[in-house]
Amino acid sequence: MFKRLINNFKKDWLRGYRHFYLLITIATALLFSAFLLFVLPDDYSSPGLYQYVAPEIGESMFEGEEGITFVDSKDEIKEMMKDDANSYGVAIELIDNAPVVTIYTQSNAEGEFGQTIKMMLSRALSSGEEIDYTERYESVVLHEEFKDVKYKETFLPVLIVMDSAMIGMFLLSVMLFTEKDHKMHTAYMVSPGGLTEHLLSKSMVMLVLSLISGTIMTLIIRGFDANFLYLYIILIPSAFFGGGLGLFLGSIFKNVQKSMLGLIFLMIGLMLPTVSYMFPSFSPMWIKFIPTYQMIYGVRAAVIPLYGFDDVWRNAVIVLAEGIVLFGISRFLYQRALYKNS
Amino acid sequence: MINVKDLKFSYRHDGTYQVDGISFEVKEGETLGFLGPNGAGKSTVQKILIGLLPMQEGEAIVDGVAVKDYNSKFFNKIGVSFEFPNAYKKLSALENMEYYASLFDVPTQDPRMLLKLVGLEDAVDKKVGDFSKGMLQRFVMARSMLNKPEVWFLDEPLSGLDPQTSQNIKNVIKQEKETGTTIFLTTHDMHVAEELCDRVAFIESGKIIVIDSPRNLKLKYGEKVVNIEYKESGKTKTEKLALGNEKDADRVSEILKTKEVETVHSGEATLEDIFIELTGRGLK
Ligand SMILES: Nc1ncnc2c1ncn2[C@@H]1O[C@H](COP(=O)(O)OP(=O)(O)O)[C@@H](O)[C@H]1O
Ligand SMILES: [Mg+2]
Repeated sequence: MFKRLINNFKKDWLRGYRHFYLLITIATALLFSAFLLFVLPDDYSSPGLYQYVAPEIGESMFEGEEGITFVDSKDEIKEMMKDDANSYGVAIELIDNAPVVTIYTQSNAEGEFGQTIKMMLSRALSSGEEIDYTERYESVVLHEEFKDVKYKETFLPVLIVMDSAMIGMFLLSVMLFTEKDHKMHTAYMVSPGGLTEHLLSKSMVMLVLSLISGTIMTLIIRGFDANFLYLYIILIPSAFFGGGLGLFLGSIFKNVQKSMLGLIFLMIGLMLPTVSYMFPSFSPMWIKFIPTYQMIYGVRAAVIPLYGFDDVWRNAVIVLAEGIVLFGISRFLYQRALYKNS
Repeated sequence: MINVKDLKFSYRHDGTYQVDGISFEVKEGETLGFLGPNGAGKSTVQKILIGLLPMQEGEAIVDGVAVKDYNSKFFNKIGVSFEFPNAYKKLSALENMEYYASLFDVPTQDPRMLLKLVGLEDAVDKKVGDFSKGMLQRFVMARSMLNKPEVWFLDEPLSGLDPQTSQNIKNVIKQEKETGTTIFLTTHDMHVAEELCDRVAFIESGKIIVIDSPRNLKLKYGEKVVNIEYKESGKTKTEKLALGNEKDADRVSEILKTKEVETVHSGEATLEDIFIELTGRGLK
């Protein structure tokens, strides 16, 4: 079984290579990297602002302004800012009958925004009695690690996942379709080779391609600030899942043309978690059941070291489990389809 | 080696049977040919026997294993040459062969030697996608010999080959036969059936009409054929008539009485003549 798997892999790799899969993969990775480097702006024009105002104080000075998210505790500010690299937080509490202000920033660079906040605060807080507001002002740097992360770099996980899950899905289904077209599966069926090796080897090709493209993009965008071990731990199950989708398409459709609609629908479904990732306020429960959700957050933890290994392996395990189930289903469907096409 | 009983198969499950109650046996080392026109059901029978189509009704045992019970190991003993050649077009002939060889658990033959055997020695490194149909045909035959099969299935092994190549491939099949391989082949060419097969089954509309050795078939059905040439409105016409057949016999006497007969040859019937006599239709 193992020997045959390797031989199948060698054959499928060679086929993929001669169909320019490696070239396509590298070109896509470079294209995506260029998009990040040259098309997206370094910084998003309006950063997120999270505010907590202690109930005793009552109304907020920013009441009514747009783009402010009100939260219920200081912890919640930290929680929200963890998912939003380009954001600030302000908390106002009443301690010893006097307001205490905490400003949260992602890195120690407060920038213009920090100055503006301070000015507004000093005006607001000193309006009534005489208070030495400087004593009551605290600045907290939340995520030192974000210092070197440009806003646009937080897009990297999205692109890596799109590449490994979607390109894998597309290329693998094409691989199955050309095989059907050449009727090669019939020759395989009358050999001692098993179906699992036959399909798994194709998933392995996609896996290698996905590791290559993930490595290229991460190296270009993040250099060695990323953790490559983490990256591979999450990318392997992700690519396996993407390959499973390709097998699924290749099994239920007869040819590329007929699979197009299915491919597009799957792609749209897989993109939904991206929306949630970029706009964290949109995160309905069901979106977490789309595997790309776990992939994106897993990859993020690998390329932006802030999030730690927990985020990597937890997501990796979920995606792996989903990938195995999908592979099983696809294998079953493929086997059924074989009889119809021989 | 192969034992088939009351085999029935319907593609559309609509009560029509493309294989309609077929029974036959192939002994070890024997070559059995299915001879019949296009659409007779030859390939369907073969696909059932090699497990490409599901078993619907009846029984079939190949090399001691019921078709229903095939597992992948079983295919170490089987070789299949397909009617519609299949291969990885982006791989060379040799790469295709080496890959296929790697799937077996038993020792395999040298791919280069086999490619040479079927006359493809100059195309070893050529991509299979660039092969002509005849080359592909020979390629899949060479590939089907990799594992030295005990039972060899050949579906229309010589269709589309020029006479010279066809003769070479026939010789390859004969050599294989000498080594004791059991062969099941299908063809719509009476010469192939006659030259290669120990026994021939006539198959038409999913049924076996008769099954016997070419020689016996001829002795039994083919002795009394006459070729009559006669003139009719200034042209020479030829008719081939079997005397064993009442209608044909009447026609002979009618021609002799009414036409200007030029020559009469009595000859040995070909397998096709016999096929026509028994089924009322030709092989084309
Ligand atoms: N996949 C299929 N679906 C439906 N009918 C088929 C299919 N393949 C073959 N047939 C029909 O079954 C009959 C037998 O075909 P086949 O076994 O290929 O004949 P042969 O090999 O003798 O030329 C034909 O009438 C053919 O049209
Ligand atoms: Mg046929």
